[in-house]
Formats: sequence, C-alpha cells, structure tokens
Amino acid sequence: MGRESSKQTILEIRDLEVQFATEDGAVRAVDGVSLSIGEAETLALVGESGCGKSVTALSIARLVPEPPSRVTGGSIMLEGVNTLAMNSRELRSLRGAKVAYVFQEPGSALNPVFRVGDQIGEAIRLHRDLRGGAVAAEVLRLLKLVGIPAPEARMREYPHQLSGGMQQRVMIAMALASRPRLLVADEPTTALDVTIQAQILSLLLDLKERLGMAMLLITHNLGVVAQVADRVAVMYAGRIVEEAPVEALLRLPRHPYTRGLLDSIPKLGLGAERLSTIGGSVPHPGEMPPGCKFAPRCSIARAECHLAEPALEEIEPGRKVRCPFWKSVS
Amino acid sequence: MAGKSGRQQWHGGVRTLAGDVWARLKRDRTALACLVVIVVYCLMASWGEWVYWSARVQDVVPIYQVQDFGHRYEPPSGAHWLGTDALGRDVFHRTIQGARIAFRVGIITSLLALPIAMVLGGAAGYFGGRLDECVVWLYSTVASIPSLLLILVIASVVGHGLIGVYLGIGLTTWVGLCRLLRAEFLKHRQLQYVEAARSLGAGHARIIIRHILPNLFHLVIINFSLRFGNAVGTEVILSFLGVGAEGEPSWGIMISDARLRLWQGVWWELAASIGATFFIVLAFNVFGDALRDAMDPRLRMVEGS
Repeated sequence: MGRESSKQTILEIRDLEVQFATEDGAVRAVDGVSLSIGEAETLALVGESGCGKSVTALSIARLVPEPPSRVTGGSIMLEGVNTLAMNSRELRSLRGAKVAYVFQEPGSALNPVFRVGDQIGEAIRLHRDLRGGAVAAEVLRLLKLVGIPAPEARMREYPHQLSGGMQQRVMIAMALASRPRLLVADEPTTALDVTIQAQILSLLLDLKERLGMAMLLITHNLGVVAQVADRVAVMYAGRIVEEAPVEALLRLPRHPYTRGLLDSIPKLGLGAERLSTIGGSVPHPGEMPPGCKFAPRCSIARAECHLAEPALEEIEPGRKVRCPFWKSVS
Repeated sequence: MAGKSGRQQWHGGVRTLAGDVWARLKRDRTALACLVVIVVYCLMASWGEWVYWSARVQDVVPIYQVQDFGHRYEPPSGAHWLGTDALGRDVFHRTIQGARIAFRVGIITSLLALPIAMVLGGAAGYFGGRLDECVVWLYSTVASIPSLLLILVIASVVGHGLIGVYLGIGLTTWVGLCRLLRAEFLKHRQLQYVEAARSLGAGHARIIIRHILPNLFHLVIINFSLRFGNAVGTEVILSFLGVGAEGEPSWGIMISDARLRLWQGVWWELAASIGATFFIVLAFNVFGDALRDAMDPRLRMVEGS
C-alpha cells in the first residue's frame, strides 16, 4: 500500500457542517468535519449508523437532498475546486466524472429494466465522447476490468439475472466508466456474503492500485478497514473523534469510542467470553449533550467531560484524537 | 426492448422482460381470444380508413353512404351481409366505419390523455412541493365533476362533431393514470437506482424520462388498454345522445337510428352496432386485466430482490 503522505491532495474537506430541517427544528448531522485524501490513498470513514459518515461522503458531490438538508459551513475542495460553490450544471459534470460512488445494495442501485451493458454504456456516454461501437468496446473492457466472466454474454443480461457480487462488480464498472479521481464506496460490501465481501474488497484494492484513484471507504466494519485502508477517521455523532494511520489505530486506539468499537468485534477461539458492547446509545441529534458527545457512554469520563467539548488534538504526526485523556485509553 | 439475438442461449432460458410478459399472456386463453378480437377490429378499422380515404380522394360517395330507397330495411342477404337501414345504406359497411371511428377515438384521446398524465404525474411525483400541490388540486377538481357532464360541456363548447368528442374524452380521462404515476414517481425517486443515476451526473429530465418512466411504462400500457375500451364506449354514448359524430356512421348514431324500428322487426342494424360495441369494449377490458396480471408478477420478482 502506498503510504507516502506528501502526494498531491485530491480531496480536502474543511469544517463541513450539514444541517437537516426536522419538525423539531434544525439538526446538525455533520458538525465541523475535516478530512483530506491524497492521490492513490484510501481513507476509511468509520462509525455506526446515523453518525453522519454517509452524509459527509454524499456532500462531496452534493448528493444529499436539499431540502431537507443544508450545508451551513465549511468547504469541500476536490482537486482544488470548491464543490459547495458549484451550480447544478457544474455538479452534473462533476458527478461520475471526478467523483464516483458505489452504493451499499447493488441489487437496488441498478435500474431493473435495463441490461447491465446499457447501463454501463450510459455512464460512459454521460462524460466521455465515445459513441456507437466504441462504447460497446469500452463496456466490455470495463466488465473485464472488474473481473466479470463471459462479459459478452453478461452485458446483455438484466440486473436480476446476476448475483449480488456480480451486481456490485457492475456498479464498480459504472463508477469507473469516466475514470474518476476519487471513488467513494459507501458500505460496498455490507449487503454481500462474507466470501463475496472479500472478493469485492480485493477487487477495489487492486483497481485502486492499478488506476491510481483515491478512495473514500465508508464502513462500520473494522475488519474491512484493516484490509483496505491506509488511514482511518472514526466518526461519532457528526464529529470526527479520532484519525490515524490504520495500523496504529488498530494496534493502539486513543479514543475511548474507538476502543469500544474494537472491543465489540467478536473474536474466534478465545473461550466463551461475553462480547463486550458500548453501553447506552447514540444521543438523539436534537438532544446532544453540551460537552463531549461520547461522555454519557464513556467509561473514563470525568466531570469536566460533560461541560465542554474537547477539541480534535494532534497527539503525534498524522494522529488526531478528540479526547484530552487519551493517555488513559488502553 | 425485445432482444433479437438468441435470447434463450445463456444460462438456461434467460428471457427479456417483454418476452416474459408474452410467455405469461400466451398461457391465458381468454386474453389470447381478446387479443384476436382486438386485431380483427384493428383490421376492420384499417379497412374502414382505406374506404373512407379512397372515396375522399376520388371524390365519390363512399359505399357506406350510398342510399338506395328501393331497398330500405332489407334483412341480411348475400348482397347486404347485415341488411340495409332506413335509407337503404349497407349496414355491414357502416359497422366497419363505426370501427374506424371507434379506433380514431381510442387512439386520439389516448394521445391526448396519456402525455398529460405522464407529464403532470411524473413532474408532481418527482419534484413534489408546490408543483405537486397544484397537480393534486387540478386532478382532484377534474375528478370531482361527473365525467360525462364534463365531457358534454367540453364537447358542446368546442362544437359538434368528433373534434369535441376527442377533446372531451381526452381532456378528462387522464386523472386515473396521473394519480397512479404521481404515487409511483414519489416512491421511485427515493429508490437507490435513482440516487445512483444522480451520482453519475444524470440530470432531472434524464432521470425522469430515461430511468424512472421505463420502470413504470407497464402502467401506461395497461392503462392504454383499459381506457381504449372506455373511450369507445363513451363515444358511442355521446353519439347516441347527439353530441358526437355527425353524418358519420358511429355505432352510437346507428343505435339511435335503429332503436325506433325494432318493434317493426328491424333487428339487424341494432344488433350489428350494439354487438360491435360490446365485443370491442369487452375485449379491451379483459385484455387490459390480463396484461396487468402478466406484468405484475414480473414487477414483484424484480423489485423484491
């Protein structure tokens, strides 16, 4: 895995703030998130459902429906251009061309009434000046690239005739159709069998190496993170609580929430220990605690944790933690 | 969408969606019988159209308008298969012309109503908000007025003749499909394939027309079949009431002309026009239902994954 951090920055999110209008007033789903991804780098964004990781990722191409959502602050620079300042025409030429998405459920992300070859063909035609036979040739090339056997026959099939793994490969082929600089994979393996998950992950890794793309991988599965990512950012309640290189984070988590996540992974063959869990539940977005958002569930929380929210501190180069007591996390 | 090249070749009998529907329809004998009836009427209408236009081009009195006072009220015979009417005109040819008018009504009113339903229903469901409220208000208003009354008003405002019938039926019968499409667009715009299309850079128009509408087109086809029969029936009623066709042998006019002579034993004109109306309306309704049955399981299979 390429680990040189001095490479060109592809994506730079700074202090992103996204609000949702609800019946109880505006709710902040993403609150001051900053991230950056370098060329050919994979950043994993980890967190449980509703922590704002998907909203962060979809905001890059402004795919969160507005309304009810609204970006209320920050900037998203994709190859030096702020996507938050783009009009709808500029956004359309950005989507798919510079940043492409792979979604969680390939079965419902493909249009059921069109042959998969035609769908990939449309993705090609949207952003590239290929027509006629050249499109068909490119469809074949992409299907081969994502490892679909007998692509000539497969391209004439409908989505429901393919297995989940094959459908996800087709989705990846569509995402790669315009050679994006950044691939956002939003839980790409969650809906798949374990064995297929491994195949799709190694395909993503392989493609990233070969095409030199940057990748933002959204997941709640730390096993996936360990396999694929270079760096990890852990999100909780709309904030980043820890950011670190993947090995360092998995070896020695510095935030109590990350610790809790790692502890709640079932381990095989270690006797009949009870699986540890994080007590309590994520605070409701409308009723956020005033201090550290994790404090009510934290085992090492002190009185001051409930008063003021700690800042995201850089504790060593490339490593940030939003917890002043990170030394006591072990 | 039907595939031409060897669709059965891969993976044990892979079919196209259209092929799948046809395979289901083929097993339904009633539906096939209805399809045959529809095709026969279609041929009758085409023939009627040909007779109509060739008489106009040659500037002669068409065969169905030729009067022969020496042969009034003749029962069916070799010369006149369905007998003659009060003016000695051939009832068989007039019935064929009735099919021509019925098909014109069915097709032209569909060309008016289906696009209205697709544009309004699609836009309302997809964009929502103010636009949606306006469309819902509009179709609720149209639906709240008894449709025959509304058709009569439009037809008499526009003036007599078939133009009034086309507009009257076309401008009032889009409500059902519009409501259906609005609800479906509302559902489909949130499905992931739409989000995926958006993430690839597709605009609203492309998503509505190229992505969502093909998923819902079976509803338009079913609606076409069901409304065709209803439009034909409505035209017959309007012509019977004297608001429809004028001087042209619509089945409604034939029924209206013939009903007074029934007590004298002149049954053929009434039987021909009522029978012709009955079978085409029945065929379209039964076929429309069969079409719905044939298309729905396919939908469940695809969407249920």
